[in-house]
Amino acid sequence: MTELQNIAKKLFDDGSINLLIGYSNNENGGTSAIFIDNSADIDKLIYNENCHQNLMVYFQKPEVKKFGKLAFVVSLPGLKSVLEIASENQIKDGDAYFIAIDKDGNPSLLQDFHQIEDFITNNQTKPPMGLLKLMEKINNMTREERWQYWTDEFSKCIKCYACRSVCPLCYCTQCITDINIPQWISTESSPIGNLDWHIARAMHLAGRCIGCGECMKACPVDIPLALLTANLNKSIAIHFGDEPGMKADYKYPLSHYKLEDKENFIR
Amino acid sequence: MSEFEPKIVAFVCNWCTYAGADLAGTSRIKYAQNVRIVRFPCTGRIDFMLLLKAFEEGADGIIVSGCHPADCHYTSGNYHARRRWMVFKDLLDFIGIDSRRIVFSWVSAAEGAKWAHLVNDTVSEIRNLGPMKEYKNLENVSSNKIGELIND
Ligand code: SF4
Ligand code: SF4
Ligand code: FES
Repeated sequence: MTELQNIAKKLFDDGSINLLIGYSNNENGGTSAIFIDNSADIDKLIYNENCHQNLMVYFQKPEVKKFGKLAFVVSLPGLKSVLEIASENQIKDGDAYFIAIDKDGNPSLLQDFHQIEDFITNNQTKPPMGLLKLMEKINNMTREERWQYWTDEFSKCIKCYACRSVCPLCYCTQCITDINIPQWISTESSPIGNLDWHIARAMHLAGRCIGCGECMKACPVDIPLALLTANLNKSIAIHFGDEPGMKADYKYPLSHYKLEDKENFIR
Repeated sequence: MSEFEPKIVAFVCNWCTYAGADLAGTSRIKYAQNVRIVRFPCTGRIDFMLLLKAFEEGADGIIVSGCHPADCHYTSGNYHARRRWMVFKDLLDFIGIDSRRIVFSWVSAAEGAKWAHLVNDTVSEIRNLGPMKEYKNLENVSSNKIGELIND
């Protein structure tokens, strides 16, 4: 048994959990999420560098919640999502156990938000270079070039909403894009509808996205979605000094304010 | 050809800027006729989607205006709005929409003259920028490139 399986087995054996969500090998040679509800299946549990899906996306699902006591296998992005949804009052300390995988691939059991905060501070990684480079490239374009770039990217969108489905922070029970009275965002894949969707999605994740990059990996047409939220987070850091996913008592920057906030752009 | 007349949509709060615009009227201050005013309870209610809808419906420029800091009828709507606009402006810049087309201002109920200036300034600035052709051109973008991707 691996160390990871040992930790999981112990949680089942002492009755701490009813459901564990982790990773297992799938028949395509990759890895998939596995939902384990009894310790007999624990030998299927694995962790390797192919296990990137952010499993915290399942936390809000009623099908998962009904199991009651839960455990998740999570690495850095997953744990950041835990703190972010904690700051949004979606999870309480003690609602779930977290088997955290550190940067060397070693598992350890975390139970409270303090431990998670420490883990995140000790396991920080730099954002992927490719993403930073692309962001810089776009920021150095002329405005017309940027518009052309994004119009081309958005025109590929088929409105499958995979980006929304995989995001641990897209948990509204009714998304603005599904509302039809009034219809804010056209349901078809059309230039204006796509632009509306991408602006709305990014704005609703501004200062909340923890940068797991799942949206980008899920997109079947390779739109660099995480750039939009990353760039918004950059502005939020510059304007307000906030960063999501670091503290359980984080205050969402767009529902708080300071009297001395900048206003040199207001006439 | 006649000169380009920009269409401006103004999203204003009921308690300050709308009253200010009213004062401009009752004081018989003349200002550019290009503006269509939409009244909201508070700047805090002005969702960014509304601004996008205005562009979609053919606006060339947008004014968003409400009570000065410390004067919001609901205490803090304008402080929240101020933050939202800051990040929204940055997003528009990143996407390549000219954020100079959205003008933010505080106009109180006593500032009829400021309102008139604001409208005149905005109209002349947008006239210099020309029509908001990006949105109009979107109609011509092939509706989605997935066909091309599949044929590759
Ligand atoms: S990177 Fe994408 S999937 Fe991950 S939190 Fe941000 S928006 Fe959601
Ligand atoms: S995953 Fe990609 S194609 Fe699907 S809705 Fe999101 S951006 Fe559009
Ligand atoms: S009421 Fe005018 S800004 Fe809130």
